[in-house]
Amino acid sequence: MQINGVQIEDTYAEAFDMRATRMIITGPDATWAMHAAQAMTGFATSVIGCGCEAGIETTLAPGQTPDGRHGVSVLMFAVSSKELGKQVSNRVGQAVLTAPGSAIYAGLEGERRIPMGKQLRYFGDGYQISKVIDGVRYWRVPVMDGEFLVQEDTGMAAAVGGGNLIFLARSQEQALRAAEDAVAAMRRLPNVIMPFPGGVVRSGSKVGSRYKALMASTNDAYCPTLRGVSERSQLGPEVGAVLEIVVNGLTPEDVSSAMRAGAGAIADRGADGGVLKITAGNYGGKLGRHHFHLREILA
Amino acid sequence: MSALTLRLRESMPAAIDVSHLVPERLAELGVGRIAELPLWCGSERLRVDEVFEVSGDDTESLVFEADAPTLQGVGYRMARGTITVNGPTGAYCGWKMRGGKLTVRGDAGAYAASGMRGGLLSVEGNAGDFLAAARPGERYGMEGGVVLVRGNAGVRVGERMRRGSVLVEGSVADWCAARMRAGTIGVLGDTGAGLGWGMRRGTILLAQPPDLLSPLFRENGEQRLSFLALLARSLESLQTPFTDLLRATATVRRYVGDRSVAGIGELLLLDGKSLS
Repeated sequence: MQINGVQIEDTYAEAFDMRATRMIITGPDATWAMHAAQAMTGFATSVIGCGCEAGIETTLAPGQTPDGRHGVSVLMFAVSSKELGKQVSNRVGQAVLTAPGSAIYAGLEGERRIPMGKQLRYFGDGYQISKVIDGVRYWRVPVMDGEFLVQEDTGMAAAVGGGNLIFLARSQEQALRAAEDAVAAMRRLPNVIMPFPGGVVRSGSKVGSRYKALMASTNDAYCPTLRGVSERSQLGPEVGAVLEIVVNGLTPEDVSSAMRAGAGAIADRGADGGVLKITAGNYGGKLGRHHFHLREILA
Repeated sequence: MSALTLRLRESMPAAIDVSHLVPERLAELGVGRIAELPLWCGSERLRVDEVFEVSGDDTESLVFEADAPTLQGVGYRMARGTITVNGPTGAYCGWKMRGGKLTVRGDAGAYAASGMRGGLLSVEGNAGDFLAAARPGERYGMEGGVVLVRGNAGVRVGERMRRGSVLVEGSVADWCAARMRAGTIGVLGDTGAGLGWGMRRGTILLAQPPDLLSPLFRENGEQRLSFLALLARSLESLQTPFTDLLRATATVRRYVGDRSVAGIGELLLLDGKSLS
């Protein structure tokens, strides 16, 4: 299968079950809401080292937020509800509570709840105020610029993490331009985030390492500097660089739509734009329940 | 289906206890058997159809037609559906109500919304004394839900209340929010003496400065409070001037008390002016 001269490999992305929540951060203006959201979703690229994977889903106009201020919608994914709860508490406490003028609300309904203000309220040292409005509890925590308003908890959903696209290009520059197009297309969709820097990861990994202590190591099959060195190398002489986009979504359909949008944007660059091939990462299909076949997605 | 309507046949001198006539209990029973239900009128035990003309069949939508404030305990513990009283009610209207919507197209008697936990009680006339207040010996008054009074309310509105909102579009008499534990009380008109006396937590929203405020409510300055926007939004469907007032208010003048009991309740002046 080829689109625009770009070869689509007959393979699939293997993705995992995760737990996710959405939170709505608001601020006195769009800039300060964004500062809080960026701090909260910073250093959240991979569950391996960050505890969670988080990103900004979209910005919200004042009419779309609970308190009528500028807002940012944030998605956060973790491997278990317990870990998600820990990450939400830590990150809201360190990044949103601290941001001037901020407030944070649940962005997901649902029976299963993750505590948000439930623990953070104690920062108020007894001066915190509970308000139940329409059956929902909010905490008003006194801070130095007024009050931090935080909802008691947020909803949790079963979600999918680890959808991915790997693409090979003639040069690093061309790979990067294709990646930018793909991420821009994917960001227009709801319910997904691309957790890596700018949505893109260049250090794809494989399971295992020659060092016993390491569970994962560089994906030598796709490293251009290991062409002719690693037995596993998949790169022909024309490949200059490989990049990957990882996508997490609330449902398999969301991940699949995002992969379609991303792969479409990459293929639009075409062979003329230096893109050679689109492939995807998997672990033989045994680790993750969700398989996204590239050719089905793009059919 | 039409609303199940109970029209009072004639004015009774004694109070009529209608506390068991609520949608979920009548639905269990079926329309046919409602007429034969017992009904206490003062100390006399009668049947529903001896006191009311019964018509209609929708037990989820119950209507009382009454021209005197003799119905007691309308909507007691009601959990769903609607009850409308075309006329005034006696005491304990919405007592321990848990959900649904109770509308009184007239005045409500004493202790309306006492022990209420959920739902909406709307009084289109005036409310009597002890609106949303604790009964003697009870620990708390109202514990949830929303009460909207289009007219005035009597003494001790929200005494010992601990959750929910009471909105009075008219004025309230003395001791409003006395010993309040939490929740929200809003008043557009005047407030009497003893406002917030012994209040520990909770919010009093006022459209105009009170005539008298205990010095144990401490001036807290002008504040911008995000939660008022949430409150405004939650009141949208009620069509009350409170919504516009809250929306128009960027900053409030805040007083904190009652400090005599180390309270951190708040009195918020929505006009932004300070007390003279």
